[in-house]
Amino acid sequence: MSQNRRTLPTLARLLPCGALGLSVGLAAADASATTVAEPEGNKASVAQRLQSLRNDVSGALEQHRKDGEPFVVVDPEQMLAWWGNGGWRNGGWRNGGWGNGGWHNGWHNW
Amino acid sequence: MTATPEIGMVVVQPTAFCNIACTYCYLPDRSNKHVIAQSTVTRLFEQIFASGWSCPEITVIWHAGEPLVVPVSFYREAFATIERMRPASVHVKHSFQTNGTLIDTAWCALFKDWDVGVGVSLDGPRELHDLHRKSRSGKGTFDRTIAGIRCLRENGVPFHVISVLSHTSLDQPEGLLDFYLSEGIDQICFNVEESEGDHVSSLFSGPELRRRYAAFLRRFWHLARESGRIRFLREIDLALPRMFRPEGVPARNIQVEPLAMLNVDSHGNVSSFSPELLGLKNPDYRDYLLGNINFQSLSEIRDTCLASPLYRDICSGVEACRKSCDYFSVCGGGAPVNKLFENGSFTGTETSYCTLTQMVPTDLILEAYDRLERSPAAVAPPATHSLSPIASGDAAA
Repeated sequence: MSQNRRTLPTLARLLPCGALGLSVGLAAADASATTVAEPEGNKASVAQRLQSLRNDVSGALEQHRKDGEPFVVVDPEQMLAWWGNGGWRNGGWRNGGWGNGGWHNGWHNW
Repeated sequence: MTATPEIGMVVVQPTAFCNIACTYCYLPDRSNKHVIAQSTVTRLFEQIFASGWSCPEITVIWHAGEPLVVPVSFYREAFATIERMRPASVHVKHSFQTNGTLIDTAWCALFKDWDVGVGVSLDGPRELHDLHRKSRSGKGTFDRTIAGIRCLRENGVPFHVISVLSHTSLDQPEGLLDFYLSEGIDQICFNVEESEGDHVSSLFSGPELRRRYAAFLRRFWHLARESGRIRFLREIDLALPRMFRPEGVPARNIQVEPLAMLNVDSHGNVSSFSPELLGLKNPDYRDYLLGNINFQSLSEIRDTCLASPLYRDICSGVEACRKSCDYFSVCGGGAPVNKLFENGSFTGTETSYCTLTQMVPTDLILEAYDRLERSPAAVAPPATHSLSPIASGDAAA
């Protein structure tokens, strides 16, 4: 996979803020974007883009491990465990309740 | 998929009865006033706790018909019984999905005493809500629902709303947000009117639905985040952890895992997978029932489930999704009930429901992320305004 080094610092800044911070940041970037969207024909498939995103997240975590800094204020392994529950804490939605599949995906009539 | 269940959610229908009659309701038995026995609740949780299959936290959702037509005292007794039986390693989070019309201070006291999650069905301001959410005599229920919401707020009970979007509301992201803010509603979930059970959605036949819904959700997301007053927008905020996760961390779909969702009706009948299947009829699938908790052990119900045509066909559908769908890594195989009612079979793949609940949010987030990648300096600092993040205990509930 191609690791987009340019995005790692951005991701590293956004991820610690959890889902709320990420939601705010992405919405702001999307709303204020002046660039025209890339033509559909030039884009990788959705599956490839999602894979790339996961690789970027792994890369951001790894970079911070190598730098010898804790990934924000939490232990990276603990953070992975939260991810495993479907959500992440530290400003995000904690509580496996939803992460355990409570919602996404999850059931939408609750 | 594992053969050892991991029970994360228990959906209990304390009664099929509902005190109102929404035009889009999928429940076939909503005039039946039978109420689940305390002994059935006791037996259910004895079996769950003894099985060792419980996740560390179980969400118990007291759901359809209208759970608040059963008295507060019933739940106080049931909750106390479950609490007495609960192993120390298991946390139980009780939740209600309600139309809100019966909420009063006694209910609020129960919600606070037991840290109950509350979801209220509210389709927006009066002119939108009353289009479909009607009393049994055909009158709008907005006034009663909003009175319930105000009672929750006055008593400091956190809650979220689920708003079903119709043709009309899809054109009104600004109006909907203004309404939520004016009523102090800061946790929001959107459902698009679906075809389920007896109800055939008028929306799903429209060719423009995907484009209209995407435009609605994108606009609402931007406005909500700009306002700084919305804590939770389910469609976006719960897609984010599923997309922004490290490689190798799986994303579960509990609607396709055996007994991950344990669904129990007022007679003790048990189903799994999509809760909407409970109460529907189908001879090929034995009415989607896997047993009755009053007469069978959970182990027997598990064995029935694993050997059932229902599970076989749901697995086939998931495999088909895995092979063909770009969005599989965030979705995990779709919602069986929607496959059944839209495609006529559990073995199929993409549905309109998939499009709206998985594909549209994923596309919007990928598009935003693309823009951020191309101009990372443009991204605003991830300020959280004055909002406190949702924590355990009040997580969107």
